Amino acid sequence: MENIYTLKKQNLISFIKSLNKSSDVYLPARDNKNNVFNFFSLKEIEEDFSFSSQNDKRYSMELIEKTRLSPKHILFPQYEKLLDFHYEKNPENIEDVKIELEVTPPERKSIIFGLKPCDVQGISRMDKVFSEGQFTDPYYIKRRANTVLIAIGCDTVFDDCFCSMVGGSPYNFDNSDIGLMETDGSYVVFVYTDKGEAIVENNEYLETTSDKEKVSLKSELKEKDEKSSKKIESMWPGTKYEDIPDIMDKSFNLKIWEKLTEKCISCGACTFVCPTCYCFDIRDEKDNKQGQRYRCWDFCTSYIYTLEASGHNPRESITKRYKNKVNCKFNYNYKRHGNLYCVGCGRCIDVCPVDMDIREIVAAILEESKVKDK
Amino acid sequence: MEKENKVKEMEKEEDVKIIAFLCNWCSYAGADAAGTARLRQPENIRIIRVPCSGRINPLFILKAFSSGADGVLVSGCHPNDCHYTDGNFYARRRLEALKEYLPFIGIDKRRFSYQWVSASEGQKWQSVVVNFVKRIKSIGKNEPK
Amino acid sequence: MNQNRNINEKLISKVSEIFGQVSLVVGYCRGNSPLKVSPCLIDEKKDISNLIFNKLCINNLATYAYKLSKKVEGNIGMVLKPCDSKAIIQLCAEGLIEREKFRMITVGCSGIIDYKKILKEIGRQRIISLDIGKDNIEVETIDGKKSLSTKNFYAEKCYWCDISDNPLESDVFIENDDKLEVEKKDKYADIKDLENLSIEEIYSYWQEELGRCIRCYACRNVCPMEVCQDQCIVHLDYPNWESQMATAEENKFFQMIRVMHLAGRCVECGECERVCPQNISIFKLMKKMNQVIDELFGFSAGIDISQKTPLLTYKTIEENIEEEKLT
Ligand code: SF4
Ligand code: SF4
Ligand code: SF4
Ligand code: SF4
Ligand code: FES
Repeated sequence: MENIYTLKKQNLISFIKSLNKSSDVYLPARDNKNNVFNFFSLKEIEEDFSFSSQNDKRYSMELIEKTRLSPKHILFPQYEKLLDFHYEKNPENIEDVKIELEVTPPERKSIIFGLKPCDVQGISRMDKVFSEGQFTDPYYIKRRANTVLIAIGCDTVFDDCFCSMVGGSPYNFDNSDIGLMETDGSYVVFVYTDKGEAIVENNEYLETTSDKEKVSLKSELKEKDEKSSKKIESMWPGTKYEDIPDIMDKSFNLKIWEKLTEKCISCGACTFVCPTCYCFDIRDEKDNKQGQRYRCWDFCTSYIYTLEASGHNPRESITKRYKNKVNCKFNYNYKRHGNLYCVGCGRCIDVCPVDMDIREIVAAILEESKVKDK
Repeated sequence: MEKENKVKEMEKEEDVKIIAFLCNWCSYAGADAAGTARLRQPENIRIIRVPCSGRINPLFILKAFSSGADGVLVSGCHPNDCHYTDGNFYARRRLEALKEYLPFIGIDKRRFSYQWVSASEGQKWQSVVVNFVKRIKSIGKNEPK
Repeated sequence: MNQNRNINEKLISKVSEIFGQVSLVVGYCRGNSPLKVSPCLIDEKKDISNLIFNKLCINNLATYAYKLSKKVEGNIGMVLKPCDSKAIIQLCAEGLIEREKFRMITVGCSGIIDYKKILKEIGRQRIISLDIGKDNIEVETIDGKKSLSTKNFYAEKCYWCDISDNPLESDVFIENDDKLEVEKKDKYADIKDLENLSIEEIYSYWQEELGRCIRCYACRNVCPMEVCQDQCIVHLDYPNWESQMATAEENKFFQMIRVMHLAGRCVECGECERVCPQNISIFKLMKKMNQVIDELFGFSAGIDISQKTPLLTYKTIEENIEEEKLT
């Protein structure tokens, strides 16, 4: 399935509003009061929201910059109830315990609008974690099946963007249901999947294109992709991203790791904003005889993450923990799922309290391993 | 649902919920004395016994509030009478600081009080709780809108 | 930016001078964005030339003091702003670090620019270039260039600072030709504003602020005084102090843990609020407790190395505490 429409710029707002009728639309909005810029549910902020920033509303849509938090919280919430439980014990016979469980799977239909290509790549990485292999996750899968992804390509590239260093690019619409390309007076709407087609079908604001136009629009897309990619200068020129995992293996015991990681303060900022960090913890909390099981985000740079009941901690130093973080992204998951689990969005660099830069660290490792090779 | 209703009903009966932390050596004994002397005490109070008022972490009180308490009362031995010599002197500093802080996070400071009641002061204990409960009732439930 | 070069040179030469006495120097180096500088840990002489000091050096490097003191053999040199040195003083006063282990290299300060204020003003997350002058800040974003008036963009703490030129404690003092010139502000102004609201409004204010918290613990981990982060009760299961379900109420409780554990200890560096990815105004929470402690016990943290934290001591008669009678 592939189709191409165009959407006049002045119709963008009406188009988004029309989508918001049957599903919940999430879009990147700046909370001008607190200067936080994240994906919000349009229904939740509607009252004080404007599509344009030239307005004194509290929230406004913003399509050029990257959000501070990645959109992962929409599909993989920070905390999520898995089930409610309730149990009753028979006082006569303590082995006789009745347990009731109640599971409420997520039902909402949603559309995430205005994703950057790296955000979509992030979601595709999550998909593999939660729906491939021996263990699959019904909550995530259900929510994901009910979600349509609408991406928008990047003409502006920021200094913490490095998608093209890790196998992506600023106009890469792989895994998106729909991709938007901005041109002079309109947006070109590339529809890639049936799921995408289903939400735009017969939409009054979209205009169809002829076969000839389709061909030229596709080549325009390619041009734009190349143009934007060029703006990103690689910090590991000469190394292909596919080769990084093996180099990481070889570099595991390099001394330089220590030097590279010692300033990290072991917080969770970088993992929590990362679109691909998927670690979670499952907990039961009960009050008397009822309670709930829920899951919540967890992070490998934390000391507690690997702390064992005996008191032993196999990753007691930040060097070991950060090394794991880098390897998880640039090595282990590549072997598991065939992709680097860093999509180059640069969010971790943006939020780090002490200016750690994952690009610099990987580059330094690559460099050091070359020296060792000689 | 049924359960919820029951809980609601209970709440109505009880009106306000108050947690009291009492030190084992004086105030708990004092409350006990009040009971033995059959002095009427309001039923809204749940007493938690601690070894000494110095054992009370201000976070206990905050936890009680965040779990839905409408008032929190602390009581220990009179200054200079602490079983462990100076537990209540430390406590006084912490609890006073907490009390001054409470309004800043949106909790009326009249919802919290710390008192000194000795083992022989059953009467005093009674009037402390009666007055405290009255005060909490007059402020109402701690139900943030 | 001539001044800058001057102070950098002085810093580098001073550090080179004392490098023999220490095995590690913690200082500032260039950052990866025009808005930020980066902390750096230098253990080789050749790297000393990377050190810088300018108006973006907002990090409080004392945050590394406790951890490094456990790890590093030999002495540690620390580049500090006068206000940062308070953290070292307080850590020493509490016996958490040893004064002799640290060489405090204190740099005279002309005020630090709070990059979050700039971002808020320009309504952007990312910038292209930045130039901080004495009167104006020139900032370039995708929307174009903008000129801001420097005096409005200092870190909050600079508006009530009175030690910028004479640190309370230092081993090496590097004088800065630039001096702090700001209009003084009341430290508690924002607290008073909030306190003017009704109790319900205050409650909902925090509910909204802390409803945004993602529990990344950056605020806790960056704090120079929170030395117990790996053992934090937030993570305990038994007793379960706090749920990992990050609701506003639970997040508030997390901040209360911080407030209580920092009562009379917080040195007001403002780092916790700076690092918060969700821009939550947690510094107010800390400041308020300090205000209470000051009013009750006349104590401010980080001033006097020989003074005990008020909550770790007591008086049998407390002049400022009026106990409430309920009978
Ligand atoms: S890299 Fe930065 S954001 Fe990540 S854990 Fe370390 S200090 Fe925190
Ligand atoms: S508070 Fe004072 S010493 Fe600290 S940054 Fe501001 S001016 Fe400099
Ligand atoms: S609580 Fe905040 S302001 Fe206070 S010392 Fe810690 S980081 Fe600094
Ligand atoms: S830094 Fe901000 S978001 Fe992170 S835990 Fe602290 S208050 Fe919450
Ligand atoms: S034993 Fe009663 S207050 Fe210490």
